[in-house]
Amino acid sequence: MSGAPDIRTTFFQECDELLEALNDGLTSVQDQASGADADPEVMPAIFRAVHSIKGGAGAFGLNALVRFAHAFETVLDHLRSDRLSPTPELATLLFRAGDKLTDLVTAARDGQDDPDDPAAKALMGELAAASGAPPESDEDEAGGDEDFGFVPMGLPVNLPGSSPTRYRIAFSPSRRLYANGHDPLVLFEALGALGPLEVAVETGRLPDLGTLEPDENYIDWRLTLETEQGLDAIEEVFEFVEGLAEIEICAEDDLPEEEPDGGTDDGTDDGQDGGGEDTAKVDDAPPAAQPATPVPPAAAPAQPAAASPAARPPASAAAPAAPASAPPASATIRVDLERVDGLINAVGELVIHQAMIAQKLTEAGVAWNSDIGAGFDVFRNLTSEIQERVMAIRAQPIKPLFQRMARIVREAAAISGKTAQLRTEGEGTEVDKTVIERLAEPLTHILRNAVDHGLENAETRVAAGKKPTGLISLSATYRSGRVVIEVADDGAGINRERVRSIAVERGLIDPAAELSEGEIDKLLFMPGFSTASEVSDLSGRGVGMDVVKRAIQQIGGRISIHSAAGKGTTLSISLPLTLAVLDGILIELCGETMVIPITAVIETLRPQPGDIHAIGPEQSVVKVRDTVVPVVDLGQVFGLSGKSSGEILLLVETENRDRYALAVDAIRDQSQVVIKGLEGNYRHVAGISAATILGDGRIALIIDPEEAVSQAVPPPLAAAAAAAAAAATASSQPQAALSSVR
Amino acid sequence: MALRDSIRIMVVDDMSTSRGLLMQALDELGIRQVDYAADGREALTKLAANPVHLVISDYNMPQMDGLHLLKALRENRATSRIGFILVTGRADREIVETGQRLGMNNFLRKPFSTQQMRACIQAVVGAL
Amino acid sequence: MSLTVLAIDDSRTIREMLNAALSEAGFLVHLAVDGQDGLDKLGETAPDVVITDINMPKLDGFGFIKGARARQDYCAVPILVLTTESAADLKARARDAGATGWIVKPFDEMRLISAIQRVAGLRAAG
Repeated sequence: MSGAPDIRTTFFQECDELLEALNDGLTSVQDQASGADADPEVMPAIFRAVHSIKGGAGAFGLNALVRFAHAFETVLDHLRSDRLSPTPELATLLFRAGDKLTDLVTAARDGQDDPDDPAAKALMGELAAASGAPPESDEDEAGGDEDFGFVPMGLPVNLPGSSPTRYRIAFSPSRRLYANGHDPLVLFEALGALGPLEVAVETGRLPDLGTLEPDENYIDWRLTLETEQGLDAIEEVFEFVEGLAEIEICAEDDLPEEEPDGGTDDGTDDGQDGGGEDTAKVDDAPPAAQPATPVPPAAAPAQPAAASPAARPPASAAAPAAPASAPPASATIRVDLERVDGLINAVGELVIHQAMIAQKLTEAGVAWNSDIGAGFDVFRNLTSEIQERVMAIRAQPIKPLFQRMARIVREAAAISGKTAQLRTEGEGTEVDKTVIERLAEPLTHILRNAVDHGLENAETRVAAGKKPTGLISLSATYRSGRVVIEVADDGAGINRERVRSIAVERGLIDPAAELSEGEIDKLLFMPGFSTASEVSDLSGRGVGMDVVKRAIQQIGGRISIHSAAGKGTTLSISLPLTLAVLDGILIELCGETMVIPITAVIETLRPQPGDIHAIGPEQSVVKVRDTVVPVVDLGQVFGLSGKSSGEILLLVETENRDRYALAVDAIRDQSQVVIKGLEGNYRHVAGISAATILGDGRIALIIDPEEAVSQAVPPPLAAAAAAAAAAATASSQPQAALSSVR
Repeated sequence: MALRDSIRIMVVDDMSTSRGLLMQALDELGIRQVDYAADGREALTKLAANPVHLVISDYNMPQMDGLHLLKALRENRATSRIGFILVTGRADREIVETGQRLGMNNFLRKPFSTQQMRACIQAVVGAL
Repeated sequence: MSLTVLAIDDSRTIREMLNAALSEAGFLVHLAVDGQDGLDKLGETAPDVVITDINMPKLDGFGFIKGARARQDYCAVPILVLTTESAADLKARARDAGATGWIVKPFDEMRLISAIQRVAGLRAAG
């Protein structure tokens, strides 16, 4: 691969480091040559330095550099394995080679990669002489029979006019095949991609139970593959398992050119074999050492052969009458992600400009029922349709991620000595590709936690009247424009007393603090909190639920936890469908227009004069029905001039279900905005997640309510607010919606 | 029907004489369906319309050399499995190794005899 | 699709190339700088496939494979080694050490993906 420019930069940076390490090492070699004690680490390090330069150079096609590094490396390899011992002369040669290598790297950086550099060639000759090998022959003078080890490659014939050939494959894996991480099913799948494949199992080698070795393989496979590809393609599939299995591939003669559907579904002989079988053994001899078995492209038959229906993919089976000359229409195409993202960006711009035009039309006084207005309406509908469809391209089913989680649960259960089963639901739910990717790590952690801390061991479970096998369910559903992923275990539930005492122990809460059950559960998300008394092998590693929560928040998600004693714990993750657009409320704040994600806002309030109570010089609360909620002045948070009038309060709820009232001046609009990253253009601003461009072309910042609130309410003040709130609401409010831990 | 009757081959060479030599050798081998192109671009255009089983191309050509043609063939799904034999006058390890990496099926050193060409082709497609 | 790959190489260049090529192809990529780091990261990254260089400081690729195969939870994970073309015997050694397959350097994206598909199945089709 040619490598992107930035990787090229990395390569040369790395070369500098490697050359430095090389020079350091060579200095030691020189000392060693003059009698100093040998450091066993030096030679391997030098060898690796040159080897790494060679490897990178190869990747960038810097052939002159590769060849020089190779000659150099050969001498170093001899030194490394004590076939050569360092002498002062050799040390000098190595230094000169090191200098030349430095020059070649510098030249390559400047775009020069001259294979005919005479100095390099001369030095390569000296290096070769030092390593006791004949100098690399100059190809121009080499004998005409020199084939450079090239092995002809048989042609996999699949051109128009060729007809499928049927191959019979006998495949007997050894136990080492499994030990090396191979899976016969993967091989079969690869064969199946070449054409219709039938798989039969032979159990003839199965011995009596008494003599059966449990880890030996006794199962052989008989495969029948019909393919237009050559033997090469089949042998390629088996390349990695050569020597780990007995493989015999027999090609039958051309299949009959016309064959009624269903005529060969039993896969038995068609009466044509015996006469024209070609056999290629790929067992021990390398396949390329013998001429490739020809698969002559037969003259194009009028009607291509109908293949055995048994192994056909369902699409063809459903339409057996389709003219086979047209390849079966592919339902998918592969597109570079870059192109999709380019499209998404362009659509984002389109949406912005559509909003701008709408504004201009309004300003120009165009009536919505006029021709232009009606035409624009259609345009607007089409734009949002395009947008939806483009976003859908990035959406992928969550199934593969869920499948990986099954493995996580198995492994976690194995390590913790528990038995656990994962049940998944809603695997077809589609989520943005990036969201899925970035969900993998937090979800892995959550599931490990569920097994490790959530589930009890089998004895405890049985004692509690549960089945010995713990059940963890993982589900995905769409809920009001978001995807909700739930991980539920049927374990013991959160041990709240323990959580509380740990939180006190770690100074996270005041020993006297009175916390509701929900508030205690939320402590699990506090930074540094971990209920594992010792760091277990599994979910320990110093990563707590706070990290999980942050990872979820970074993809615009929210996480919450619910637990019932003895019945289990459920974690809910709510995620946006896409990271590219957001439904927002446009607010006015001290003369600025800003956006608040609509998903964060529970309701908007227009407070009456008596509703807001000051509880300190800078703090106030508002009573919303039965609960007391701190008021956050966003103008102050963002350091805007003046205070917000607070005429409108937006009630928001954070991931911890804490509620706050954000004071703003006015609500302008509600609209879908295209998210533009801020950090790439500016830097991270606390309380601001991104920016967008409004219909009038102005830039508006998108508020991250949770972060904004945390800016406004440092923990001690929050505690004060809580205390004040508790006093204000007296005893009639057992569940103040305030957290004293924030 | 023998393979030599059904196989379709394209010869790519910018020099009309060496192109003629290649085509003459193919004719002597009894291969009837032979097309030709004078450079890589023309080869790609012709192949898009009339695919062949095997391309025999010179290495040294202006604009697009044999290896670039090979690369272009391998990068296009429709032509990726066409057999490719590189004809080269220089015994150059780099060319052969690059060709191997790009997926060439065989190479033929110039000058060549008809028998050498037969062996070279048969190593790729089997008995003619 | 979205298989997790753990790529182990002491060369930052090669790591970045692997990361770029594999991420581009839709894999979740984790990187490790040597065999020991690779072993340390097996648990937390839970890879579906591992790609490892041979010649590395601390613990080389063979040592890594041995270590991984000795772990009950990773004894069957597909492991591909990165080898140079010139070292044909490396393939045999890799196989003897328990490698599942190999990728010949310099690699291109297609070879890389196809090698992964050959050990992890076509679902690894980026």
